[in-house]
Amino acid sequence: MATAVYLLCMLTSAFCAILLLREYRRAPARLLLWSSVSFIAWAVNNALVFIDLVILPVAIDLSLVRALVALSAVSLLLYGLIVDAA
Amino acid sequence: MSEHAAELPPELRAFLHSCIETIEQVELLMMLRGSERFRTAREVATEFRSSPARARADLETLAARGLLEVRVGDETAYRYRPKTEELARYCDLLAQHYIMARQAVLGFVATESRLSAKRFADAFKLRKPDE
Amino acid sequence: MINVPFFHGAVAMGCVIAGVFFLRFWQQSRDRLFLRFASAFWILGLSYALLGLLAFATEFRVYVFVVRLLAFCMILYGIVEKNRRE
Repeated sequence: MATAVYLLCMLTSAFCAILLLREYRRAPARLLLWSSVSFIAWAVNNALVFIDLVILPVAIDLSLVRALVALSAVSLLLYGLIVDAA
Repeated sequence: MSEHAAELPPELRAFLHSCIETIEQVELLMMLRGSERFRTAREVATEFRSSPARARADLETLAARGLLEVRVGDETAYRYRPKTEELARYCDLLAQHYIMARQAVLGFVATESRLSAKRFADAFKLRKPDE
Repeated sequence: MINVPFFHGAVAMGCVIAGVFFLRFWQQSRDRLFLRFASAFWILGLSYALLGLLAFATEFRVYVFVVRLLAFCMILYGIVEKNRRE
């Protein structure tokens, strides 16, 4: 069950990233670039959660790395929203 | 920008956000609404002093949104004919505000179309109208 | 040794602010997609606030991630809703 949760979150983030990148390639806009990179980071974060909690729960603790990736994700999104939203 | 947005009713803002991209399209729509005649892209270009290609692109966009009727022939011609009651109502609302508060309407469209927010929202349309 | 919940709090704050930006986009355009994104990021922010504030035993962490799943489901719902309306 946990696996399904983490994978769905990862797939949704990746899906959003793909849609935003597709639109960015059609005609560039900064918000599209930064938000798509942000969603890629969210996908990475969700993948790390999956690895950390399901695949290798005891061997390593990725909680700091996960938190830093999540912080990057939300910071990139905020950067895009602030500089581009007139 | 937000002052313009505040003056217009929410349904009109939603209609402009989803159907109209530029000021030229607003003016084109209003001109076509004023008459029953079919017009070709060439005639529109002459009247607006723009290029026929631009006129055709705008006409095709408005037609794709269900606002115009297309007549195919030697030259494709277009006429104002919204496909649904709802669209007709929105166009009437737009016309009303175009007369009373033109600055607000055009100001909203001008900033709205430049706003990357619209681009963000458009990214999530899975099936694009032909561009 | 590094206090990871600090970063959880930062991410939660970032998500809340991102949600506010999306709320403003909704207010301007009335496009419901932005409303869904705003709620999604607020729910995501809530999940990070929970992670940061409460000390979860490993078994209970899944529940916090169900909250995160809700956020991503909200995004998917917004995308589906947008495409059905067009």
